[in-house]
Amino acid sequence: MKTLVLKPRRTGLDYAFVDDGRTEGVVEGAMDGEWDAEDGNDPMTRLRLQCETEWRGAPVEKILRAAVVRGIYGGDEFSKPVVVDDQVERRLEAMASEAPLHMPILLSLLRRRREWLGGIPVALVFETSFFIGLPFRERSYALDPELTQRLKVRRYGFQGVFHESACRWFVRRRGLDPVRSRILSVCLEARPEAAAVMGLRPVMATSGVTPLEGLPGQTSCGEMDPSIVLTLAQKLGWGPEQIDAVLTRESGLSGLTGREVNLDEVFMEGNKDAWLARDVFCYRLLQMAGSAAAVMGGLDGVVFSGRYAFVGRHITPWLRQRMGFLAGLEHGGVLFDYFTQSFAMALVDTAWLALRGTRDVRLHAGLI
Amino acid sequence: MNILVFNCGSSSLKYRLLDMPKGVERAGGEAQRVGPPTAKPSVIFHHARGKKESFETPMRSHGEAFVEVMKLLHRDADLTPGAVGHRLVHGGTLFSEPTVVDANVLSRLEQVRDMAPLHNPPAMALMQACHERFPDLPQVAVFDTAFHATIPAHARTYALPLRLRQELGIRKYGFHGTSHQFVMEEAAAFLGTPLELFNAVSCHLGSGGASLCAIRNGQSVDNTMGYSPLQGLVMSTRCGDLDPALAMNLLTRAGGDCAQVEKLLNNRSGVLGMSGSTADIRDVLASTSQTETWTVRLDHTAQVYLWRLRKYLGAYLAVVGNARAVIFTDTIGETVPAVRWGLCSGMEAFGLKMDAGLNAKVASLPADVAADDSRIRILVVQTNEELAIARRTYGALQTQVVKAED
Repeated sequence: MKTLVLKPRRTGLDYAFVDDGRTEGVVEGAMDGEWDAEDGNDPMTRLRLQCETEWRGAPVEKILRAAVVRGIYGGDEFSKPVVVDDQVERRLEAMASEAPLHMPILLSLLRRRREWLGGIPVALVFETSFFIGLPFRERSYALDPELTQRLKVRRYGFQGVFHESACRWFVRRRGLDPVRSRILSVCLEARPEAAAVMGLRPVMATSGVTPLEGLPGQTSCGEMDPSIVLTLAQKLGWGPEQIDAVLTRESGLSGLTGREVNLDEVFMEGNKDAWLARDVFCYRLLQMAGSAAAVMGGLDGVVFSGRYAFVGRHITPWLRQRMGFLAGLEHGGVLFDYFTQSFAMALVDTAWLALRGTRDVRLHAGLI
Repeated sequence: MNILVFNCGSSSLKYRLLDMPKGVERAGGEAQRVGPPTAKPSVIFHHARGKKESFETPMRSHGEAFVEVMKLLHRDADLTPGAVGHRLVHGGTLFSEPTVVDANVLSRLEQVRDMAPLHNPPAMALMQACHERFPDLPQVAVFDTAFHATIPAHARTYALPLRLRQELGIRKYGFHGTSHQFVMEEAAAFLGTPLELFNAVSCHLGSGGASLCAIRNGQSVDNTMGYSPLQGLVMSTRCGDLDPALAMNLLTRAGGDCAQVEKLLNNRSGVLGMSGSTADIRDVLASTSQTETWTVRLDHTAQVYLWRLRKYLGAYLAVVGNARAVIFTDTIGETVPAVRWGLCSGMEAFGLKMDAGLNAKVASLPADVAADDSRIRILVVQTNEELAIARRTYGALQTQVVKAED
């Protein structure tokens, strides 16, 4: 049996089939298409059609044990993975206005889950859940609380699945006491994110209300003086959409390099034009290491994860050398490691860890 | 040499006359309600030789206020200024050191006028008036941004497209440079460390603005303020760091009205926005509010204020690498032990350990409040921006003389 992993996006769907025993590895792919397309041209219907051919008409329940859907934003509503039912659907509908880009897409997938996925359990895992308990002092902006409550403004992290999986893996592998462990978790994805994780709970995150704040991404600007936004509006007469387009799609490491680059290319030897992107990125990470040590009272390790986790190997020697700011014996003792598992595997593990006790899942897994 | 130092506010003009290089104050004061007439008349509070006076006289511009101040000083031959030092908030990329003012400099300054739309124009009007009235009196412009000219590219560059950075001059400029440089020099002298080997984190915590500065080898390598003074720490009425997407959201909600958002983030956020009752962190920390709602709100304010400081202190200690000292200065930094403690306690991992007893009762400045076994010293140093400006002014004039002799 397999578990189907689904990552819906605005104009398509990333999917993966994870084998039970993981013996056959992970089959990944992508389907393009608008979610509101008619005549079966939406990405999920196209995926189902492809599966029917491959499965030679076998019913979904014979092939798939469960589906796990990745949700980007679960607000304050979803603190852990859930099995989707009608009630969950209603809770999502109620918070649709908080995530006007993601939620309609997620809902168009979940509303038709029975049509596409038959009776198998569909688990929903949110990237923000890991960060829901972020301490008040970290999740708050220095604004009038009346305003922040009205706009539902608070800091989240948006790579919770990777952070949680990587940190769990790291403490096991390195024999750290999970409760006392103090880790800087660096997720290297298109939109990178760092988090300070103490006792496997996040106490600091680089992202903000959105993933735009924080470390510079491949095309997103990361942290910057908020008055720059106003300057762009005032001096260039730009509207919010134009500003948003430049800050999210033309900035970041690509903006610094002057051409479209990914994290791997930035750190690849020979790419001389990427020096500034490389220096800026490393410098921000060094600052995060310092902040993490300050808020956790020390630092035991740094774990890299994400699609570009291996890029961490280029950063480690430099970062290790700059660890002299930590006093005493400790600074030689900061551990570095790389969590190279795929997102699909990490997502399935996260869902399974949270849901293995629940009735629906146990029933289906034949545990009851 | 008597150097007259001016510090322009939007509707005020502070001045001090200092005998350089000794640094002894000879006279000083402040012109208030400078500008269009208000309900109360414009007034100058002046002091010299231990005597305090006040004069009511119309001052419709900083230029007029300057003329009145000069009249007061010229009453006494000993108080005649030999040079003038001006504080300028923003020198853009054009001015990275104290600059002797001439007609050419005055016209180049026009290019940086809008970089600090509230502060630069009155200071420039003052310099113009001074230049016209007293063409033989040397003037030096001292820029708050100048000390930060050494911030390296990886720290000053925002991850934006090159054409935007170039077209609009978008980069980290950093502020409070005059103060950071001054307390750095005082701290290095106090510790007997040569300036060119001095590494430190300087915390300028004012009752209004606040910033941290990372210092390596006597040079600024980073500052928490950025393109404008809005970025960085939680300040009295400024929010500091903010998700740029949130700034966009606020702009959309304001119907594109930039001035409204600017006002919200600069004047109604920070400690004032969070607490809802005071812009002063001292009130927040000292409050004995009776109602639970207010206590919770003040507690939250203090938490966020201190947490942001702590994150940046850690970040900058990492950047500096082997800091010799953490320096506290300006109103909050000098007088609020609870803020220093909130920032330095639990930092043993960095080799930073505060002596709670010493910190609680600082009698005279500078003072070292670190524990004996702290690798990094913790210094409380009094900032003196006017003296700093007088020093830069004096230095710039000396250099000019040397150059002329060459």
